[in-house]
Amino acid sequence: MALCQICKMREATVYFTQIVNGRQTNLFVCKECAGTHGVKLDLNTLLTGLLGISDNQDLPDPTVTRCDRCGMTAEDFNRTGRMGCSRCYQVFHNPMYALLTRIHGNTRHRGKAPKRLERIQAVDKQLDELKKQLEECIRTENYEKAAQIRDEIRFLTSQKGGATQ
Amino acid sequence: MNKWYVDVGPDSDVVMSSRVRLARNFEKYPFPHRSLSEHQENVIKETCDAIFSSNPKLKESFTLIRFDEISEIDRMVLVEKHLVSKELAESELKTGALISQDEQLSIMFNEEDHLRIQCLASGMQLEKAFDICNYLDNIISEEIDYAYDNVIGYLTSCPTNVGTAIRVSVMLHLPALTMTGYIRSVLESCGKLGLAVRGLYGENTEAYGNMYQLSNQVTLGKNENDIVMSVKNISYQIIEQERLLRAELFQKNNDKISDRIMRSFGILRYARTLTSDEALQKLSDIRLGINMGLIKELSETDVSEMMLLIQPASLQQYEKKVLDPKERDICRAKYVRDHIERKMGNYREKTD
Repeated sequence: MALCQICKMREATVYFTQIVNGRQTNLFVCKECAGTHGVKLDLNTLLTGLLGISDNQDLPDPTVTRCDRCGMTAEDFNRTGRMGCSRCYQVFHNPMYALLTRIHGNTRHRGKAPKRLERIQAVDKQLDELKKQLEECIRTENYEKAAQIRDEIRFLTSQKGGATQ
Repeated sequence: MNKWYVDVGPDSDVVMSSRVRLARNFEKYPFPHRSLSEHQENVIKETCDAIFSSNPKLKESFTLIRFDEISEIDRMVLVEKHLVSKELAESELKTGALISQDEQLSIMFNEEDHLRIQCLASGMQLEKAFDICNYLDNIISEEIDYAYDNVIGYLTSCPTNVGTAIRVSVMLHLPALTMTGYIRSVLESCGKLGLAVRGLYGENTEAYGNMYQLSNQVTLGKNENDIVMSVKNISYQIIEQERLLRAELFQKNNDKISDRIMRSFGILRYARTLTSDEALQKLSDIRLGINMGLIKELSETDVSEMMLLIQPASLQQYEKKVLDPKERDICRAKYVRDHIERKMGNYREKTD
């Protein structure tokens, strides 16, 4: 038996499809909830139900209920169904991951990345590798090689500085 | 320069158009609905700078339209052409759009997200539409830091778009599936396969010219290419069903279906008033008639052009005056009559 997605008590018998701003949401609900919520149901109430963002236990720091950058609160999200800024995704990390799992069945992006970021990250990886080699050279007292690596690190770091500006 | 919708794309007997859009946000500004108006201004300016500095030639192929500088009718025309969303046209924020000359490519500013990069193409051309969006996205991302997270991908105002932030959709013309009622089970299976289906404008899907828009719902966990391919593959299954049913309809019920199409043709040629609903329904019949070789005087492109122009705002722009609904119905009928008459004249000249 599938439980109603709103009251989570009765058996769901009604398939409810709603299109808000061109976005379709499907809800499987019981007759009673379909009757009482029918007109009021929207994406936001759906998201609120899904997110349960006001449940402080899910937050990284239970005292944090407001984004420290844009000021968005859990209540704001529940009302609008929208995040305020990119930082909100970190502040409300845990409930957001739970929500993303429920919407997309996944929390791992497998698509493209911004071009410049991709390049910077590739350089970072190379730098980490070189730093490890440098330590190893110093440990084995291979100073000639160490100086070479040090120059290479300097060069890459200066390039990266240019890329981030 | 020719507009994209006058091209005849692949599989145009069933596929009207393909569309891909990417949602992107600036890292440094809050999302539009929480941003200051100066942030919104900067989004428009910085994006244009990023695109035009990469290639100054692009400046000639794009027009920047600021919504506070154009009339409501002009805004709604852009909506009817699917170049911008209704939400954007009605927004209180500093909004605008950068639109390419062929009207294939548009970037909406400060809708739900800072940027919505969109590409339209006629017929089934999802890969091409994605490649074009991707090209523009890469240019912008060379200059602008996007809101992006290494684990969950592109960050968007609404969590339903997080990840690839891609929406891939096709507009299908499905008269045979609709007529026979098989459309219901098709729509149901689409839902199960993770595709959203809606009509040309919204909920009431049957009334609007038998046109259905199919799009992906999930944006996280799959890459862009897989999402494009899944929409494409599911679409082709529906396209095949539609073609089989059309053939069957014409074989078993030829008189009835031909009668319906030719009656619709008659109404469009002679009616003195036409509502949008009726016009769309009849144009849908005409399109089927063209596909099945019953109507030779008109082409799919003619139908697409008429479907676009009979819409309320486009019609008023064409007539260069504000019209109430009654006047619109009269103008619409006249426009359709004249258009068909002209095309039939051309056809006669060619065949004589």
